Amino acid sequence: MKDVATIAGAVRDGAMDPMGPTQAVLKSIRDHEEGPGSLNTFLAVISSEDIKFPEIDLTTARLAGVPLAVKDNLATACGLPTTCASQILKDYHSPYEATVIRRLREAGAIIIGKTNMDEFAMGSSSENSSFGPVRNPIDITRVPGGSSGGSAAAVAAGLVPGALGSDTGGSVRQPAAFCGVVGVKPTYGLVSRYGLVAFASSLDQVGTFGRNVRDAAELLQIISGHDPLDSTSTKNTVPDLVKSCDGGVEGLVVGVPREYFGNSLEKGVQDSCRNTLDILKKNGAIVREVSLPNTEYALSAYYIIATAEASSNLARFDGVRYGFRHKDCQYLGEMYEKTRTFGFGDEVKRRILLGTFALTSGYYDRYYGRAQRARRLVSEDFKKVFQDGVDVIFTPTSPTVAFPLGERIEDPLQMYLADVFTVTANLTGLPAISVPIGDSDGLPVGGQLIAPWWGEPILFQTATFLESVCSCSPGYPLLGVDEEDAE
Amino acid sequence: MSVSREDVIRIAELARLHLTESESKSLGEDLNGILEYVDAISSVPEEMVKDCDTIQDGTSERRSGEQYPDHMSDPPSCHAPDYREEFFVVPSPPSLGTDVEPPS
Repeated sequence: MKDVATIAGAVRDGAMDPMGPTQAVLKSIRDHEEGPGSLNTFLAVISSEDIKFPEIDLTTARLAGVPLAVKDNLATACGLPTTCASQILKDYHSPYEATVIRRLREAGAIIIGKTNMDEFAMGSSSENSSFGPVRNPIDITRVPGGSSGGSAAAVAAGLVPGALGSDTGGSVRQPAAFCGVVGVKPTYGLVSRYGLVAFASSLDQVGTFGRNVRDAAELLQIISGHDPLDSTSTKNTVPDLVKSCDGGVEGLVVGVPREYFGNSLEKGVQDSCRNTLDILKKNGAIVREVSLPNTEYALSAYYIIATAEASSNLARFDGVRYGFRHKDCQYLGEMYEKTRTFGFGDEVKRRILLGTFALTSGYYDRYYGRAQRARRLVSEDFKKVFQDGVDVIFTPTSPTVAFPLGERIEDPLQMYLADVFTVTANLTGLPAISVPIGDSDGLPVGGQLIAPWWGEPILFQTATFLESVCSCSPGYPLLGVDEEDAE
Repeated sequence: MSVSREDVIRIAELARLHLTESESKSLGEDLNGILEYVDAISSVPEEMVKDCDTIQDGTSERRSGEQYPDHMSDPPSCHAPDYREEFFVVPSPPSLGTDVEPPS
């Protein structure tokens, strides 16, 4: 599989048929996504006849002819359904498209399919899909991470050169780490959420996946920028993110928070992180231990705020205006209850119940009020570290490598702990990236970089350096198209 | 903090979900496990935090709240379970009984 920049460059120059990469990708998906060895990464794929090329000048388009996949919680209006991997939206076709999808198409990309995910983006393993779990292409007995596991697995397997996901508590970065690809969560407000089915509106951001840092930056560049259709989209100027990939780490101050390197860390992950810090030091970075003392509250605050917002956001799924409606109902209230009971899966119900409980009058201050205060404290921790001269923070993306399918599905708390290092970037709105930094017994290890608000350039600069020096080739098979096939 | 089976049933009613007896038992156990963990925030010091409304650094600018038209490619009838004469049609509330006929 060629990368995003190579495909777009070849199509722009006329060296590659604009339809070639898409046709090859669709063939590859057909060949590899059927049968018992399927990764189950896609919920829907366009047919060759339905490919509509954007009416733009391909000789100047940044993503000319690049086939991309998007998570199935992003509204598409090109014949593909938008199901959020839920029975309640099974067969639902959105009457409008997300701003990020429109921007990709207008840049010349072709959206070839919708990727599998945890239902309504609630999960850390992509096992909570109504349409079956996603498998990790590096070891199909293991999870790809979640909730954007389908997007991460599709990129890792070489089925597509890049993809979009959404990140509410780590749902782009953690699967990127588990699958050995790059995943970015931008600053809250940099990317429009219009057309992203809401899970927790104050935490959700659309993010990008690539097989390398530059591709992830290129996709983020295209989808970033003000959108009047999203009230939380900011008018800040978007810097040149691809150009920021150039540059090394000499003189860069890298903060290493001691709270992220405790006993919960698997040895293989710890070794890769230590090795990465040694490399940074040897190449002129100033590695400094820092403290983020309120990290201890972060996961608790996250699971209260996220579920509270989810219980409110998912109230709209009641069988009235769109989606599934239970037919066997005599009264209105019965219709609401049966529709939601049959339409939602177990994890979604669990989170709705937790969020509803946290917002009830007797417990609001005890849980939701305190969680908001904890969120503020976590944010102040980061602000202080950056004000003290730290340019970027380095942590592991996840305490473990990809775990076996089924290992945590019956233990929600253990599943939630997979997000312990990623939720802080969502609580604070900070930008963060996961980049492969090594492997542990053949499974990829991801390193997380967190930058100040609007500090995406420093993320890409540091991540590109790590990509160039870290040994992280676990040798997983690529299922994607050969270069000859794409031409 | 722990929730009883009755609490779980009450929360489910508020959330418009129906739980079987075994579901309310197992979800109650799950909720109690999660609540035990998230109770860590009970030690968050109240006096240290004044402004919880914003968490970013103040450089973001929000829009003023203008309305923009929807860009719908299809009318509601294409995706609503039951849409007639520009109304979303639903079963009647219990107080009206079942003999209220929706428009044909």
